[in-house]
Amino acid sequence: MTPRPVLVALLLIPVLGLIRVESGCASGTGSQRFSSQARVGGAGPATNANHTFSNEKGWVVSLERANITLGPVYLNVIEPLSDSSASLFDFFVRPAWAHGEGHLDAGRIVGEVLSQVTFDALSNEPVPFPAPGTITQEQVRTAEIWFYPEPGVAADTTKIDTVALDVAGVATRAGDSVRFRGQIVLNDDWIADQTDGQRGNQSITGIRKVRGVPTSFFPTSGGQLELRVDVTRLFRGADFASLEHSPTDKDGTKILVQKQSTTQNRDQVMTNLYQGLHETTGTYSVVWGAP
Amino acid sequence: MHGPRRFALFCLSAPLLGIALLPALAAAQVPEQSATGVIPPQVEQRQDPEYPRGEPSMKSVDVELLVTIDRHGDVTDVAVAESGGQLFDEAAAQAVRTWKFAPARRAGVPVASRIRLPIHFAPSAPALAVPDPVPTLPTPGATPVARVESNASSHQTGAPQLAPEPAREILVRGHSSLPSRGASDYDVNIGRLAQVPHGDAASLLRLAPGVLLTNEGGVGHPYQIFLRGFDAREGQDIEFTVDGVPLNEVGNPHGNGLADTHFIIPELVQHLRVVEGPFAPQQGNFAVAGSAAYDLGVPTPGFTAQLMAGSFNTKRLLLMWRPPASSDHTFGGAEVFSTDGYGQNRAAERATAMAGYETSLGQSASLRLLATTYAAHYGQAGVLRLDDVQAGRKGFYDTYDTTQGGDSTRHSLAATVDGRSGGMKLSQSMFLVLRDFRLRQNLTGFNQDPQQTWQSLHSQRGDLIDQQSGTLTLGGRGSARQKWKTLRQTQELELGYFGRYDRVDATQKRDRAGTTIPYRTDLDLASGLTNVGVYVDASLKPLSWITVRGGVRADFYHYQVTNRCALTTQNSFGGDPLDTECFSSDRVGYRSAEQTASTSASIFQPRVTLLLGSFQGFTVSVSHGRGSRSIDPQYINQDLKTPFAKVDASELGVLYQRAFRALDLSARSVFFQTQVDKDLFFNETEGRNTLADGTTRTGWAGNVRATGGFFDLAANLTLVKATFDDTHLAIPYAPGLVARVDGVIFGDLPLGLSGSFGSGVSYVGKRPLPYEEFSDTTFLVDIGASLRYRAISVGLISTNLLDRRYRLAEYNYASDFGSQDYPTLVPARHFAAGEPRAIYGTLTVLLDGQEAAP
Repeated sequence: MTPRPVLVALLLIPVLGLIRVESGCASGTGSQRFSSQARVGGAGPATNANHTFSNEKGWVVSLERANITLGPVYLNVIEPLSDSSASLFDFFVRPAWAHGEGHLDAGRIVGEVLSQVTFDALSNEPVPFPAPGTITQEQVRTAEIWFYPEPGVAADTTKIDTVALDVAGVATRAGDSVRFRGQIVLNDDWIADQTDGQRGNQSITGIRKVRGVPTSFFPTSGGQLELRVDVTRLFRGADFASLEHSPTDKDGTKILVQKQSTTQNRDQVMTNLYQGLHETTGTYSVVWGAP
Repeated sequence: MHGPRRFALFCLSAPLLGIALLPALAAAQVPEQSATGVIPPQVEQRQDPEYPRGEPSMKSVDVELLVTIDRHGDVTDVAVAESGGQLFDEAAAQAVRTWKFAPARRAGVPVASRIRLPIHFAPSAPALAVPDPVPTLPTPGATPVARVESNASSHQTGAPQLAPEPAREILVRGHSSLPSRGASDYDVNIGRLAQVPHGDAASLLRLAPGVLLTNEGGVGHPYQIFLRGFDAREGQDIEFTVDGVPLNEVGNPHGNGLADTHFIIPELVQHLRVVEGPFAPQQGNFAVAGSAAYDLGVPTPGFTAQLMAGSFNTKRLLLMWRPPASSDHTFGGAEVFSTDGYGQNRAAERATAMAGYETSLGQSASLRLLATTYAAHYGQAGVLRLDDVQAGRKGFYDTYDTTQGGDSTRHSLAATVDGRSGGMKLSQSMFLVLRDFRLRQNLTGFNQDPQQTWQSLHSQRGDLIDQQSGTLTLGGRGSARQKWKTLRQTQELELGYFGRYDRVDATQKRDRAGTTIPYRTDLDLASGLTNVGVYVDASLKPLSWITVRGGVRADFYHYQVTNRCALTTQNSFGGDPLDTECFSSDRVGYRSAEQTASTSASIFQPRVTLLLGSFQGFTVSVSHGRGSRSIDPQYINQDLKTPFAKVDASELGVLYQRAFRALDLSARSVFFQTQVDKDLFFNETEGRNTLADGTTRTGWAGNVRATGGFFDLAANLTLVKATFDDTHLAIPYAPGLVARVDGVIFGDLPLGLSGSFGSGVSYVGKRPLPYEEFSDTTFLVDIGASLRYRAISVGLISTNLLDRRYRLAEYNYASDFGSQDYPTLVPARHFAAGEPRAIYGTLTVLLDGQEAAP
């Protein structure tokens, strides 16, 4: 008996069956990547009708202006750091990326919005980022909000013009009223005490990043990234009485000072604004919303 | 001219390769039929030599010739073994060159052969009789001799006659094949397919099914090889040997198991055996996807000089020679090559010299020596981001970093003694290899240099990875094979060993952008690695149509690895100098920056193949085997239990082979599955392979080869599904479909010309990429044509004839080359550009015995 028909079948049938491999029945590699829109807006009491709120120092603050320029924004799979500043471990071991540059290998970026946007933090109407972002379909656990210079300016340029925060308003307490205005520019005013050769965990690019903002979502195609900024958190501990000796405009408006000099210290309100801008919990919320 | 058109020595003038091999065996291994051994060649047409007219002495003279006959029955070489004087030698040789034979056959398959042919010149004697020798099976390197009874008869011709002495010798030339391991054992007979442009020795692998070659590193960078769903990178999953000398580099920082085949002059490749899967006990370390064994030699004596020039200012000078009356393993070859490359930063230069020598040691043994030397220096374009090219920020053939490139040197000596003692075939070889390697590549741009607390303030200094290694390899292998008859069948048993020691110095540093100034040490290892393998291989035939082949192999691996920079991150409470790279303190206190780890382990690897047939040309094979791959020294910890990856492979195949009157046909169909417990994948951020978890590949491979008097055609198709064992997600980068067709037509033309035309067509299906994406498909056509007149041949080659702009390699990972407004940190598509259409011309001068004769 010749086995030829059987053997011919063995030669040919597998071709038909395994063509399925190329026909798309192969499994994927996981974590689809897609483009998505992103937008940012204000949140919290500052977005109410009169933009008025109280802070921990008893001041009632009415904001007339609160513009923020931020971007790019990144999404990370790494868990946020717990607030462990009082732990014995952290006392001995410097946090991996508290305020400085951080470790790129601490986590993995799975989403990014590579554009910059200026928006009114007193409005809860979201403003879209000028360019869509890219995201891969993985669980996002933290966000990074960068306050980089405008496009075309190198990230480590120390003298920049980009205003990260521009605020103006009136603070009142027990009959005292202080009109104020101020701008935060993330330049070398904030790391003026750093000199070459000194070890430090703050670099000029480091202070322009807020890393480890907690969030939790699994992005799906068709959704969009929504970032909210509660500007009231920036004034949480501001004591406007410290502006007594601050420079003033002709109309008596106190000018917030960020640059330390021999004749003028950085004021406490400005320091609070800077700390609030870099606060990972409270100031920012990042969610994945429906289209 | 006899029979169909064919060329005697023409293929030596084929562009680029110029390989002219004597196809000693058919394209596929087949199990020996109920053996009648070798049928010697039979004279079909002859012209008797004439007594030289210029010879006045009118004496009787004997001349003995060594006549080489190819598988088509043509005389391809005539050498004088015993001279009877110049005039008689020339008269005998001139006549015998016109003879036509029925070729020698082994198991029904035509094979090349060489016979000793005594010619007796007598002034008035008749009769020229043709010997009818008894065949013997060849042994590698040895010269079997069979004394036969001559039944030569004489008749009245007035012409010289053969000596009446009955003793004849017959040598069945060429490659003496190792036992077949089934349908995935490809004894690649290059033959006329040398006319199809291949370019280098690695490209010859494409004649076996399922092989895909890519190269993101340029002309001097080793190929990245895909086989049966394995991304073998630069050779980590394929065991490469050249005349038994291992190529895979243990501990290479770019990839453990890297095999650089650029030092091999492709025209010196006489034979290539590819076994897909770990099914032969002789296969050792790195034979995970399979093994590729190159045998070097020059099939015909003579002198070859070839000049090639063409696109991208490419130039190549090739010189080869083989002395007359020598074996094909006695040769010299040298090559100098340079090119500007097909885009930015792709220039390359290399030079190779190879020499072989083979001589008999007494009656039953031979000694073969091989020496090689090689050096190369090349630029490397690396990869580009697809979004940069699409936005016009970069051209398709541009580069981000012109400091990328590499250097490579390799120097080796090897000696092999083959012999017979009684019925036992013996082989012993030793080798010494000195190798230096350097590679600079930047795959991620500027995102792998974060500010660390123990560093001076800095911005991203660049991700240029600078890998270097220096290796000394010393080793040997040996075997003893015995045959005997039982149940009226031939049974065989082989015992063998392999030993290898590697001393490797490997470093990886990061260089500042645009310079070769290191700013950080990633890796600094000094390793001593020993591998000893022993095996038993049996070939048992209980019946004529049942063959069981296989046995067991045991491999022992020993590592001693000194990490000269064991601690690269600050793990102390401070006090280290700023910018320390290799820390000498931790939380306990002071420690040496160096640390040594050692371990050893062994693995037993059963391998078996069942062959059923042949049934009217059909043979069924079932194989199962276990293989291993030593792991990278950087992963060695003290007393690590299993310093190797283990692979289990199985396959079921059918092979068909038949020699018709004007056509030799072979076809095969193979199911396969391979599982690896610790796989290796390229990590773009580290610039080298890193360990991953278990993976499985399942697929099918098919192959057809048809050879006739004026054509040679081969077609391959491989389908494979490769997945991770835990997630069952597809393995990125491994192609699911690879197809290749090679074809050549050749023949004689008017005016004494002869010509050939060859074409190779490749198709690679979409490859899975990370993030649920797929690469583009690839479709390429290469052609080659040549014309020969006497000793001169001119040729024309075009690769990528359709001038397709294609992505040779594609990846998805994060990089930042500063080409956008802000750092991009999300994985993006990257690619290495494939070569555009190239055209080369060749001029070859071939002087062989015919041309040399006045």
